[in-house]
Amino acid sequence: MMPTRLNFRTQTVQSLADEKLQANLAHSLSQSCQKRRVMVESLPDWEQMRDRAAHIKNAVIANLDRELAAFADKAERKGFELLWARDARSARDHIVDILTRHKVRTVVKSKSMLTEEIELNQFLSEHGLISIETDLGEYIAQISRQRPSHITAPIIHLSRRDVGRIMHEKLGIQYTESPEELTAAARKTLRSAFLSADAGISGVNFGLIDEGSLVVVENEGNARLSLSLPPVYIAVMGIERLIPSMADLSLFLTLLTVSATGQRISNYVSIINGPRRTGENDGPDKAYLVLVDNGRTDLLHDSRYRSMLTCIRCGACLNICPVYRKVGGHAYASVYPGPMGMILSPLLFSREYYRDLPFASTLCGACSEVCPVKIPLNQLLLELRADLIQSRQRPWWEHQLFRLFALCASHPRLYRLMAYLGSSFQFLFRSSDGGLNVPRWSDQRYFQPLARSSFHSLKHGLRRRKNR
Amino acid sequence: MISPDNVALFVPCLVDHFYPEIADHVWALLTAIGYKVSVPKEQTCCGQPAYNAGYRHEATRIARHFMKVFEECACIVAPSGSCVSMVKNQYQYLDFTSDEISRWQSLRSRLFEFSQFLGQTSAAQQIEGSFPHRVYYHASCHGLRELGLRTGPAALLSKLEGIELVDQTPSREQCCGFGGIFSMHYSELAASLGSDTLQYCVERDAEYVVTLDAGCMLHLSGTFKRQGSTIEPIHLATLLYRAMGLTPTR
Repeated sequence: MMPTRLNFRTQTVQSLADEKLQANLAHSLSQSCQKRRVMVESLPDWEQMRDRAAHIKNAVIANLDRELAAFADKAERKGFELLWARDARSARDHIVDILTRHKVRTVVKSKSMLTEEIELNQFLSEHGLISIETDLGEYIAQISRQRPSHITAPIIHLSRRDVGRIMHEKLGIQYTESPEELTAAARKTLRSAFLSADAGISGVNFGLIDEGSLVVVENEGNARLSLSLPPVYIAVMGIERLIPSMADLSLFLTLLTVSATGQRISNYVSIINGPRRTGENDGPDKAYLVLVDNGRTDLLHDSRYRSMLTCIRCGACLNICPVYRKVGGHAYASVYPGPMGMILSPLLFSREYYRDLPFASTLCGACSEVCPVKIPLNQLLLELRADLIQSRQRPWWEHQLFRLFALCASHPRLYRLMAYLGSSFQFLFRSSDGGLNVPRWSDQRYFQPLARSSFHSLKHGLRRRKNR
Repeated sequence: MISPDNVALFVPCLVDHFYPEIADHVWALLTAIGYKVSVPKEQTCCGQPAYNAGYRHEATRIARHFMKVFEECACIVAPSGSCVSMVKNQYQYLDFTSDEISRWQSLRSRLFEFSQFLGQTSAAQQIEGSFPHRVYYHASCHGLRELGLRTGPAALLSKLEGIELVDQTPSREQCCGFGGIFSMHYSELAASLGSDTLQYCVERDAEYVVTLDAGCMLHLSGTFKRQGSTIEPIHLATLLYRAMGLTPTR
């Protein structure tokens, strides 16, 4: 049974104790940030680009009903068969229906966080279908039965050595750490999967409203094969992934790839315009587009969090986040980790289960600073904190503590009295190192005692009055 | 440019109770460069601890008190990027009435973080001194990202004779791990982030870590001390005070 609350503190302690994880994360994430920064610095109008993108995306989201209808209409005219899914379950049902109808047995999949969100792979295997992840990282995660720990770099928590070991154990190849050899080994298995698969499934990075086209961004070419080689193609797309037109694509592509991997553009960008038409040599016979809501409409209706729907899933906020850098993605027990996940998980999935997450941030604001579409992530975290407190999702003593604090801080005499009492009686809490014993602090760090006389007590307060 | 000769000092609660000397140092320094400093008696806290923990109702109560105390002051200076940003950038999200909002708008333009104030006054040219030590400037998050204090503090430091500033790689614009109540709820994580800052300083032979916030200091000094390090976290005001060879005004 699912516990009622994810204890994030326990998760962080586990991650911190995992030395290998610490080394892998520190190494990979500082590289990701470095690459991004170098590229951003080479783009003088980066800030204006962010402004423009935020403006465009927010405008689309503000009229999402209309924009979605327009997009759907165009996509249908391109020959996509559209299916609407209110939640994860109906999305899975639609997909299995399609696969059953086409008597599909094997599916090749390209990386998609939405299919992770709806837990598609597990469902497909329950229905006797074989689903093969074809993104190298996802493939390694799949064969080692792990969940992706990052939204764009699924196995960022693993080292080259880990990958070598996994591929040695699972594929029976000779142990090697050479990326070239490992890629070649995966390629061998995956190539035959592409050729024999009956259907391909991919996520969607952008839907172009004016064209009804889908855009898929990747580096390995596996997505393009998944969506063009098998006779049946299913695109799974969140209803918020729209941008107005082809003219906006270069802006969003740049923002996405620079933020995600520090690339000016990814190796492959596929723009999909429906199934193969008569006279065309390549492409699937049938193309389906499954449009998934799964809680997004609720976000849309809450103006406080609506901007979260503008997220383009680049992962920059994960890479820069001091907390994510220490704990890694698995600690969040959600498909969406890091700052964006701390907001999305409670809002999309369960406020109760994920209620620790919005509080697990230092509010340093690094996430907001790197977000390519300027989502005020740390502001949303604050909003969500206040929200969760309103619905009594915090320990009772914490609220009482802040009530008392507010009472004192709005009554200066009381405030000074409390400070006086604090400094006078703190000896009761002295620890052996000369500091104070403060729960949840002094186990890790020395806690500096209060000054014998606070600034105000010396200047105006009790002690001075006593001296008179 | 800031013209008023009278400056009101806001002493944030962490400074007041843990590092009162920082307030003394700000006071002495502002006096030394020609300002008349006052300390409104009824001041307490800006409300940030409650606000960041999500208790907006409680924060509003404290914020109302803050406004009442400082409303009449022509210019307010505080040695904390975090508290100043709280008042300037977060009060708008409190349960204020429209009247309170307009009072806040007038107040926020008169409030300055200590280094921000020095950066905007010509009197700061009088700051001269020597600090022959190797110093790492830790850009405190709220000052850096919410007040945009990117180069100012380091520029002030580099005016001092003999000072050696540890090269600021952009990757070190990273949180020290304090984060208010975060540092208690997630003490292991906070301490681990603090240790990273320590390691960075050790690798670069820094003798001091300069910050703009007592919160960073409390957390960093606690981490450093537990690990037996002699590197001293120090507030920018204290460093300037020592470098200028000032004496207490109080």
